[in-house]
Amino acid sequence: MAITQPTLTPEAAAPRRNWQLPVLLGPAAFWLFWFFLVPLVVILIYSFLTRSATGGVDWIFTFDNYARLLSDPIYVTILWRSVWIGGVATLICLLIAYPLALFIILQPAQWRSFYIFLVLIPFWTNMLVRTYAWMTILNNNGLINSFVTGLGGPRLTLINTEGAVLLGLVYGQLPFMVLPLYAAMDRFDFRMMEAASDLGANKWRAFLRVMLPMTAPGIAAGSVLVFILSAGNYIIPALLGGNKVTMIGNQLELWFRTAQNQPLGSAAAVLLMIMMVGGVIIYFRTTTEDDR
Amino acid sequence: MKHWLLLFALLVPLLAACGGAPTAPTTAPAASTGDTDAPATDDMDGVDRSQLADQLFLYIWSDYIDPQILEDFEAEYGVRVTVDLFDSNESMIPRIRAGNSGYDIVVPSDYAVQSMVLDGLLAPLDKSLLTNIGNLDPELMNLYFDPSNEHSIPYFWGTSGLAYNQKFFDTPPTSWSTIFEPAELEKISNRFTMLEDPREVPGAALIYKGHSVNTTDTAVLAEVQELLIAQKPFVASYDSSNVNFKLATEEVVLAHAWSGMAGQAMSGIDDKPGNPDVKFLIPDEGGIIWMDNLAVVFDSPNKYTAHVFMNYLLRPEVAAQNTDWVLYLTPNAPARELLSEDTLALYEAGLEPDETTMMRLQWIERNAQTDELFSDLWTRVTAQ
Repeated sequence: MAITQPTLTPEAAAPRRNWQLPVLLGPAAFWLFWFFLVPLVVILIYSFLTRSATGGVDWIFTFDNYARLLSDPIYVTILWRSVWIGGVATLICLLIAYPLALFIILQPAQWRSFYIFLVLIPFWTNMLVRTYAWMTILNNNGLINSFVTGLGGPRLTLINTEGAVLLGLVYGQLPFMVLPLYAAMDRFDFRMMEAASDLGANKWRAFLRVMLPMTAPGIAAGSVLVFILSAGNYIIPALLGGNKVTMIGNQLELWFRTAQNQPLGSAAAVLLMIMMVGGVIIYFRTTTEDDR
Repeated sequence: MKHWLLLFALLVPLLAACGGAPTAPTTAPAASTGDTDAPATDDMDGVDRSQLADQLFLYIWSDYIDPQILEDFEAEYGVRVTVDLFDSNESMIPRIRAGNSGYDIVVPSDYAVQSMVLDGLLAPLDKSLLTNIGNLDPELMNLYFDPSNEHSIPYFWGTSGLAYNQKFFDTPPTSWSTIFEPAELEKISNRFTMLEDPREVPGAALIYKGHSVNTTDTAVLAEVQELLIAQKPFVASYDSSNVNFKLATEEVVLAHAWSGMAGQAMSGIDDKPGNPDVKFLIPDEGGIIWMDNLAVVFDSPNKYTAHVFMNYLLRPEVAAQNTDWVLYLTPNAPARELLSEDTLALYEAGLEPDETTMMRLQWIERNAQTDELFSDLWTRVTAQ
């Protein structure tokens, strides 16, 4: 997807470039500096401070917050649960989204944007509202249970389970998987499948050896998006998990709000960020610029 | 290359922050000059109208004051009261602590009053301006968090106990064993909720086991932690915010709940109908008492007007009207006699503890040590 840059002679380029940096970079630099970098530094500093008796911070530097997080198995449990649930949600999204994206790309061109439009429709409603809608479906007296008990069946425990959390996450993040996959397939030249078949590969083999590797960057991009959004999710485990399925987002909420332990919460946020950034670095290292 | 624009973009907010700090709250009553239109002579109630500000900013919990009272106050004194909402003490305190909040009156809960006084966030009250203070029940004055009520006066109070739907119980529950003993838990498995609160839930278990809710004895806390972990598989959810309508719609048949939540489940919330089968009780072992309080913010520019408003809320007929709307328990003794029949019916359905029950209620006290111990305990229960 290389955009050919306008070729300019050095003399013509120089005066134009004078305004390019501040004008083009200014808004983003302003935003990132004040609303990303400054808060990030505050979090980083807080993570080395001590909680004050009334829930603020005392300026006493310490490594205790990190030592505590890394030595107590309960925090590893929470982190592992977040990674596990996030990973499973990502896998389910992939298994649903890949065939769906393939279906859309195989439609006539004028229909594709309509299908993509359908994929995006849920974004028009606030996530919180949609999660409450799931609650009315899964509740003890919800739509499904009314139907099942109406037919004389037993009341099912659907809500406040790990399954309900997974369902909510997959439902919420699915579009983030479909769109990168669609973009990757859009770049894929389907004549390659014919070439593979001319060279003797059956359809399944052609898919595994040709199409799958060439759409892998889409899989990676979608997976990174869905995993980060799922593993760090807070509202879905709170509402569909009944606060019984604690993920890292819920624990951060406890530290920052209820327990008013900002230093410990900050340290956890920094550790989490290091892990997430590590994942993204692996993604960039394993793909080339053309893939993305 | 000229980086000036980039530099400018980075510097502008810094300049704005330095220059603009004193005027930061745009809605703040900067124009808090005396109300010159009002007659300064009308001194019947001892209020010097020339000292009143035009506006007052109230920072309060949601659905916690009858809007009609604000209109009546404005009609009488010409002071417009603007209401802003918070949903927890923990989200309110940092905004006050930051300074220049623009708020005049806040409504912190018991333990929050104590911590805000320690941090110097509340202005001392001028009792000479609170001429109606005698209406407050002496039993609810001079409590541990503000021993001489120097910084706060009671606004509403309530309890936490068990709300239940009488249709699903042959005999009303009388003990916390209903939600802690395995044999009894089987009957309500996944049909009851616990509050989502690191003090209330261990508090219920501590009361059941006959301990103080403020204990820091690690052996006792370990015992309680095991009890709560054993209870967890039976709990439908930990929920502090939707208990009212879950009870009203019979999504759950029993809930560890604040009395006001139970009251809303009985009488209806907003346009949703109430459920007359919902009842509330304090189990035999006891329960928890809490109170929200009126206080003046330390940097309020309208302290005089704030006192006038607080004194207005202390009038028996105003307090009664407010209670009929809010449905919590009023600390105003003469107002208690003026409540509507509907409110009294709710009080009788269990919301108002009687004399003997009062003896079995405990206050949750907070300090650095309890904050640490209980948030750790709570993490170990919820993350299990």
